[in-house]
This record gives sequence, C-alpha cells and structure tokens, in this order.
Amino acid sequence: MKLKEAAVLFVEDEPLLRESMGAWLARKAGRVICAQDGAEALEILAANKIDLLLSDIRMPVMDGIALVKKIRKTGLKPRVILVTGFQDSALRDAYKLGVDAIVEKPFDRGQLLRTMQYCLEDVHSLDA
Amino acid sequence: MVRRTNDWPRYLALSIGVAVIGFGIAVLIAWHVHFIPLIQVAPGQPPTTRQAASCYVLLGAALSLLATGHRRVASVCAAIVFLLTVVIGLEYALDRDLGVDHLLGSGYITEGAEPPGRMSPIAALSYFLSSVALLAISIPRLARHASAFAGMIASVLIAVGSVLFLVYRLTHMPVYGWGHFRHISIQASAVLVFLGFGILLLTLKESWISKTPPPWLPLGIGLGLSAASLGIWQALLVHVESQLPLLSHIILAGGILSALLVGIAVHAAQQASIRSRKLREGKDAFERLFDASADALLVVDRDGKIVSANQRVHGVFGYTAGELIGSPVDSLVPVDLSELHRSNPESSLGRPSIRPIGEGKELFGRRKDGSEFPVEVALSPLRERGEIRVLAAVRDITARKQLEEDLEATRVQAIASARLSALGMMAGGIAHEINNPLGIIHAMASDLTEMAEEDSLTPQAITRKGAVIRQTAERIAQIVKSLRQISREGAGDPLRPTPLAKIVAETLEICRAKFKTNGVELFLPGAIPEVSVACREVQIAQVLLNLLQNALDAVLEQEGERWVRLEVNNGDDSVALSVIDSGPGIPLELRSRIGEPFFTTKPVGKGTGLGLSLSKTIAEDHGGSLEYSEDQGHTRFSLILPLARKAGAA
Repeated sequence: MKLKEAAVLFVEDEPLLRESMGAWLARKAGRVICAQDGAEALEILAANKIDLLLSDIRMPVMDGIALVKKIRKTGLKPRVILVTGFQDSALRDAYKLGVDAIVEKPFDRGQLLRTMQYCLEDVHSLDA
Repeated sequence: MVRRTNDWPRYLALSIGVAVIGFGIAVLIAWHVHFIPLIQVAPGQPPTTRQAASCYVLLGAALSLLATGHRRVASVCAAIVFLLTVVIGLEYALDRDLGVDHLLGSGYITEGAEPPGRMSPIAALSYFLSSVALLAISIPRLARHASAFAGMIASVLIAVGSVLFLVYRLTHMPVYGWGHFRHISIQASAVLVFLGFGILLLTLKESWISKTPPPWLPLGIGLGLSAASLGIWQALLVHVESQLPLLSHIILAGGILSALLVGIAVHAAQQASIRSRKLREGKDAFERLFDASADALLVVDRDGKIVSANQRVHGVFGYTAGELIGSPVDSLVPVDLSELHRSNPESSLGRPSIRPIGEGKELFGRRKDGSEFPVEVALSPLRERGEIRVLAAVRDITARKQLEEDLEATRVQAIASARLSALGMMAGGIAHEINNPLGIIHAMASDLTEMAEEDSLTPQAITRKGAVIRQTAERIAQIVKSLRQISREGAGDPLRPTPLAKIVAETLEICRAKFKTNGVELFLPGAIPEVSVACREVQIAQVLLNLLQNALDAVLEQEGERWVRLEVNNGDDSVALSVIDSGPGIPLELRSRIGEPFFTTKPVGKGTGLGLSLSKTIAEDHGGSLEYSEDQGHTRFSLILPLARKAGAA
C-alpha cells in the first residue's frame, strides 16, 4: 500500500506539534486524523478504518504504550509507529507489543516518510 | 571445700569445740561411774552438774559445726541449750522444779549444789548467752549485726570466765553470785573462757580475711573489761568483808573507767589505721591514675615551672617526663596561671572543680619537634607538700578535630548527593520537557523549509511560525534557567527576601512534565499570595521539589485516583507550602521516624531516605519547620517558613 492511499491516525498532546505535523501529514498521506491522547485515539480507531497509527509515547490520560495494548485487545491491526523523546524503559514494553517502528524526536521528516512507507509495504488494500 | 591459707582461726575454733565436747562427755561419764575428782575439784566446791556437762557437749558441738560450715545442725545444738537455759531461768524465777534438773540422772553430790542437779544461775546465764551468740552466727539473717553481737557476748564470756577462774585460783572465793544461790564451778569458768575464745574466733573470721579490725572491737573490749571489773569488785567486796568498801568501789569505778578509756583508745587507733590505709590507697590510686591517664598531666608550681609529669607526656609532646621537670609550662602549652594566682588559692582548693581554659578559642600545644597541634587544657588547683600547685590536664584533640571536619564534609556531601538524586529523578521529566519544545521548533523549521521548496511561503506563515519558534525557544531557555538555578549548591547563599511565587514557579517548571508523563494530576493554587520569605531560594526550591517528588512516588504505587495538590496558606508572620497527595498516608508506627536520615519506605534504589531529613534541616535552618499531618486520610507535608519583613515596615 502506498502512503498516499493509507489512512493515518496521528496522536500528539502538544497542540502546536499536532497542528504542524497534521498539516504536513495531510499533504503526504491519503487521509489523516489527529487525536490529542490515547483515549481519543481509541474512539477514532473504533469508528474509522486506520492503516497506520503514529503516536507519541508520553502523553497524559493514556500514553502510547497503553494505547497499543488496548488496540491489541480489540483485534484491530493497524501498523504502529511510536514517537519518543528519549530512550527509556517504556521502549522494552513497546517492542514486546510488536510495534513496527520507533522514531526518536526530533525526527527528520524524510526519514519518517520512508519509515511509514516501509511499514505499509505489505499492507494490502481492502479491495486487493 | 576449698582450703584457704588463712584458715587457722577456723581450725582453732574447731579444736576448742572438740575439747569442750570432750570435757563435757568426760564429766557425764564421771557422773555415771562416780569418779568424783572430775565432777568436783575439791570438797566443798560446787560440782559440775549433768546439765552443765550436756550444755558443754552441745555448745562445743555447735562451735565445731560452725567452724566446719554446718550452720543448720549447729543452730539445732545451740537452740537446745537456749531452751534448756531458759527453762532453768524460769525454775529459778518461779522457784519450782520444771523437770529438767534430773533428766540425765540424779545429782547425788549435793554439796554446794542447791537444789541438786540444777546448774547455778550464773552458769545458766553464761550458757544462755553462748547459745544466743552461736545462734546469731549460725542464722545471720536473724539480726543485721549478728557477728558484732556474738563478738561482744564472746568478750563478756572471756572476761567473766577469766575473772572467775583467777579469783578461784587465788582466793577460793566465788564471785558473780547472787544471794544464797550456789556458785559456778571452776571447771565451768575455764570452759566459759574456751567457749568465749571459740565464738570470738568465728566472729573474727571475716575480719581476718579482709584484714580490717571489726568495728565492734572497742565496744567488745569495753564490755569485757567492765564485766571483769564487776567480778573483781565483787571478789574484793566479799574478801575484805566490807572492811574497805570504799576501796573496792574505787577499784570498780576505776575498772569501768579504764575499760571505757581502753575502748575509746582502741576505737581511735582503729580509725587512725583505717584513715592511714585509705590515704595510702588514695595515694596509690592517684599515682596509678596519674600515669594511666589518657591526657598528658603536668603539675606546675606557682612560677609556672613543671614539677612532675606523667608517662603520657611522651606520647603527646615527645618529651620524657624527666626532661620536662623544671622547664616552664609555657613552652608546651599557653597555660595562663594568673587567674589562679589572683583568686584565693585556699578557696579554690576548697572547690575541687576542674576549670577548662581557653573556652571558645583554640589552644595549641607545641611538640619537641616544634610542630603545633590543637589541645584542650583543664586546670585544677592542687596542694602538694604544703604548696599550692596546679594540675594541668592536656588533651591532644587532633583526631577529634579531624573527625569533626570529616563529619561536616560528609554532611555537605550528603546534602549535595540528595539534591542530585532528586534532580536525577526529575531528569526524565526534564528531558521530555525540553524535547517537546525542541520538536515544535523542529516542526516549524521543517514547515518553513518545505514551504520555501514548494514556493508556498507567505509572509503570514513566516511571521506566525517564526513567533512560535521564538516563544518555544524562550520556554526552553526558562527551563534551562530553572534547572541551573535549582541544581546550584546554594548552601552558602545569604538569606534574601524572595517572592514565594518565583520559587514555586521555578520548581514547577522542572517537575510539571514528570507529573504529566506519569499521568498524575497536579492541582495548583489559583493564585500564590504576594509574599516574600527570607531564604536561600535554591534550598527552598529543593525542599519543595523533594516534597513533590515524594508525593509523586507515593501516588505512583497505588491504583485508582492519582493526584498531588499544592497549597499555599499564609498567616501574619509565616507561610505554609503544603503538598498533599492521594496516597494512602503514612502508617502510624512509621510516623515518628519521618525525617530520620536514611529512613525510607521506598524500594532499594528509589530513595536514599535523605530527602526528608535534609528538607527538615533546611527548614529549621530558615527558622521554619517541616510538618507532617493527615488531610482526610491523605498525606500532607507542610513546609512552614517565616515571612520576610516588608521593606520600610520597620
């Protein structure tokens, strides 16, 4: 699947980042929805077909790790890329949960594009 | 039984006891076989009754048994004599035969024995006293001064026995008699002397071991001499048949008086001997202490010259004691004797107080090699060989000073490490806090670059994104500033009036992120009162940071609601910064240990236990306090600080 065809959910608690990244992603991906925390993301996931989840790890209310755990329980299988400020113990949990990639902040947008594309490679469109 | 080398009094007492038993048995046999010479030394003399002979056997047995340590059996023997003599006493008092006179057979010798078979009253009294003395020794808990009591009875027995014996030998006159009652036999008087010696030996046994004369000795001698005088007086009275009653009265008075004087003299001699022994012991003890002292001791005369010194001076000053004699004390330590000179030496001698000198200032001693070292000096006046001297105790306190310095260094280090540990715990939050704005700047810069590449850059976009970049950079700068501020040492800062709001804001800057990322809600007061506290800003911020960190740790461990609330309440002259958390509170049994250094309930690696202890120290250094209380089942730590006086208010 091409990024241009994919539905991307971007979860970020910082409004300025959400706005900037949201606008940028909208130009690169097929469809982009933004959420400010894990709880809101879960609601969106339940109501929409999402191919790729791009989420910050550290967030209030429900952090990225908790969000992935919940998603695994629902049976939904979007590709997951987590964004982290720094290496810490939470990353071990993340790898155990089988996330597709972890990107460190601040990230190069070209690099992020390539990672997203790579994650989506073996995802087939519904009609395929 | 362990044999002691100094046991001869015991063996002598045992021998006397056995001899008395032997004599008693011999007399009883003589009565049986009608061998008169052993019963009655001469015709007309009072016989030794069977009663008396059996008393000899029993008293001798009691004496021997006591000498060999068989107290219980001895007491039984003495008790029989006691009862027998009491009954005989009653017989004389009531003038009736109570059935004890012929227990062992009839008294067929009636000469000088009326009623036959009954011992004389003086003999009964003597054996009664002997039995009481032996009972007192065998059951010492009966009386507190049992041995003194027995000793005095023994003295009287010896005196009475000797006088009886001597008067009999010299004049054949009976003494210590009353009215028409019969007199004691000469054999009995000899036995009394023996018994008296035996009992005396037993009572002296303890004194012999401790090498001190018994305290009752003068009284014993006095009593003995008085009893003797009484006998001599009676003998004279009877002998001269009232021709010279005045002379005999004078002799009696003189005898009693001399007994009194001898008693007093012996007492005085005894006291003097005890005093001299104590003095000798005291002197020995002083010399031993002088040399065993851990301090260098110097005896100095009024001119400041060293008169004597102990062995320790070598260790402290490097001089031998001999080298120091005659040299001025000033060359070793600056001892100012002028105060001692000014004050009346007699009065200062009256007070055996030791006066430390140089209190509040540091004193230094000088070693033989010229090096100096810190000392403590205590002076006490001393009278030696009629002269007023001063005993100076010099203590080398180098090691103690070093320890104090080390302790202070450790304390400073502990404060620093506790501060760094608190900062370390916050570090994760700080990294996130800086990384987020960095991400924003990065994103804005990326937006601008892309817009430029796509030729879609508008002046509005540049203005807007440029403003965001600037504000975000300023936010980072603020965080870095707070971090630098709070990680400073700060302990040496002067107390400076600082707005409370500033301290709170700076602290929150550092830890807000940590709360956010851990999903713990941090409730803050709506407005912080516009008050200032005179403080070392950094230290107070560190205490607040520590309290917030503790609160965060407490709520992280629990399920359910997780929050921490900061409250600021100001009174007229103080302000309280309170941190309340949704944690379960501190168990009652642990509350008293709050603030103890290294006391922590956190798992290993999480807390050092220094945080609250140092926070408490810092609060107290600021004239405030750190208090724990319960707030509806939640933990509340309050940092209470005095308010700074408003400038111009005074």
